[in-house]
Amino acid sequence: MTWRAAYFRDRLLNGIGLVALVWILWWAFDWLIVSAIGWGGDRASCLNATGACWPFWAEKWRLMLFGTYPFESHWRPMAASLILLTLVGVTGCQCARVIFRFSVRTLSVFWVLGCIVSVILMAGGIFGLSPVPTTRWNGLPVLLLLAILSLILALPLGIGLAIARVKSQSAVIRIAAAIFVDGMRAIPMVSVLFVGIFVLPLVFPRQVNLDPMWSTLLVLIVFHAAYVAEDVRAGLESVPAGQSDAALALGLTRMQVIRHVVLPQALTQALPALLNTIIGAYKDTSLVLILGLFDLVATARMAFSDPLWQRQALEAYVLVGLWFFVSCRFLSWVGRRIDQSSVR
Amino acid sequence: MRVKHTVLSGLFVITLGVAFTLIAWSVHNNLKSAGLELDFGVFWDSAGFDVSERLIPYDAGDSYARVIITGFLNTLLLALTSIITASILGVWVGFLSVSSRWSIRTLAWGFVELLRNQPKILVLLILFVVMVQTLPPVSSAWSIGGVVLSNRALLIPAIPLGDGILILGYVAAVLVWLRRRPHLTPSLLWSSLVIIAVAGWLLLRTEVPIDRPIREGFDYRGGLRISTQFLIMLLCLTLYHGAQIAEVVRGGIQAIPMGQIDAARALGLPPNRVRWLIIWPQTLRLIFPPLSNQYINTFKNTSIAIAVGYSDLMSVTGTMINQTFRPIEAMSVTIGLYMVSCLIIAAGLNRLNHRLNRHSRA
Repeated sequence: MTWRAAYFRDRLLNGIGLVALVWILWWAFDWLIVSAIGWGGDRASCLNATGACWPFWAEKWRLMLFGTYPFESHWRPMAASLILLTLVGVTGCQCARVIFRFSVRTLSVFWVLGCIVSVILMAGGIFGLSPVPTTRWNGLPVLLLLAILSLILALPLGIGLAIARVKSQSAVIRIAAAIFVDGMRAIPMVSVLFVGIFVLPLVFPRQVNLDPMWSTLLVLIVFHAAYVAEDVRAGLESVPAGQSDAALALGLTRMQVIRHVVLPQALTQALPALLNTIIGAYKDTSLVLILGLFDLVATARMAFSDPLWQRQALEAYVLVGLWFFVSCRFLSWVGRRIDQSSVR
Repeated sequence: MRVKHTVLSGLFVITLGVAFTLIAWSVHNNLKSAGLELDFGVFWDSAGFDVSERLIPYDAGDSYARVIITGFLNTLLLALTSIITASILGVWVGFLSVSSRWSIRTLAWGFVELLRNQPKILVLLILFVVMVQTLPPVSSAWSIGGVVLSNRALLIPAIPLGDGILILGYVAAVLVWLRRRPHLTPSLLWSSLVIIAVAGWLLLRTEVPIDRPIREGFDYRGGLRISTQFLIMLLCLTLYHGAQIAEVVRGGIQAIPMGQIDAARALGLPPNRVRWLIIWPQTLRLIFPPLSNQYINTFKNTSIAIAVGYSDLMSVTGTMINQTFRPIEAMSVTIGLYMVSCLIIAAGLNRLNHRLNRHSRA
């Protein structure tokens, strides 16, 4: 093909692309607004509608967010989710160097407090809050709690594993860490979750009553730690050997060298990769629905399994999809900001 | 210092040993109180459940070992096909996303962003719902030119395996032969005509018996049967990993120095050749490591098939655990299979990477 022909083909392609773009946008607009049944409409009119059914969202939004959590106590999962989202938002903005400038210490205190408060809010049993069993924890707070708690606890474990793998002077420890990390990364998350639900209760003595929520959290921590370790390892290996040599020559102990010289540089290097791991882990948290835990995707399914609303599956999933889109875009925005600042 | 390390290593080994012993003891106790003990002989028991699709002969009376292998082969089949389709989609979208036309670029960007920011299980469940709502039941299945699609399966007229291999081999041989002769000379033309004539004669003489899907009662019989579960899984992995691969490809293409493309254009190469002879080989070398990562992820992600009931390794293992309540035996075999295949795939891709980069100056 000559360049002239290519030019005309390109013009043609642009036209086709434009038509497709307009068509998709119009189709979405039509589904969402034009052919949709409005917020105040009733269920019966949804049955024949070709567009979205807003009454479904109006009716089911609380079920999709909080599932079967006791209805009168919905403020509790709401508050817990808001606390966790605020923590993520503030930390994300701080990493992206926008608005907030807390010290690491303040932020850590916030995180520890926030996590404890949200678990207490969910579980109840003290401060006059009625206890709620984990089987009734559903929806958004489950997604957030599992994702955030597992990642927060996986970070130190992963960093420890990476140090053990790269910096340990004992070959046995190095090899053990390497086998663990590479082995864990070679198996799918679903199989790890299966181990958590079926095998883990057999590992603990019978006096320990491990319920599925916590055993899932436990395996998620171990699973994500392997991925964190791999990212941090790359960071550690990118720190020039001269750095630790110099620090050792200044008389620092090996632990001090790692803690104050090597690790800060390694983590800065690893941050973009770590953020990708975090986004992936957050998205994959939804896989817990395979084991019968009810995260946001599972409560969406719950909302349209109501026989009265069976045709509204797409509406339910679109809402959840929107949530994931917004939250993942926020995290990847933070990632891009970090990339930009590290180039400078 | 030396002594300290030895002591540390020793302590570590002892701690590990103690931990393992404790775990083993606890597991033993728990199993004993349930009246069980660790026994891998369970794999030779009759499985008693049927598997909807299989690459090897299997029926409900066969052993658990056989059902695990059946599931594993299904996993491999799904992984292989989705890796191929996701690569094709990904490379295509990747090139579209660096198109000079903004409408095309926007479309590609929209596709990638939409898919990359969703959990794969949500993509799968949405596809599942859409398929269930749109595909017709068997009684009113769509049938176009012998291809039948219903909410149960896609049926394609099939050529028997032996003839299929013969025809494929023949076509491949002709293609290879033609490829080695870049200029079409009269003698080449004659000889290829002879070859085609011989081929036609052979085909006419031996009628290839084509196995067509035929409606029989409540279902179709015959033809190549591809279940909707497989199709949904294939579509899900193709879209999800296609988007990820597109992003990888886009990054790779953008890393190619503009001078390469300018030089190729200045030499008068048409755009298609610039794409496949100049940009693509360099991009491939650059992106191969993240691409291999995607392939390994695709393999691991086949395990979400359990959510739609495709009989892959994970889902037959799930059934086995539910029936026998022997999670330790079942999971150790399954995890072993996943781990070994992942490591083999990784090693293979690594070797390929070395071969690709053998001639690069770096």
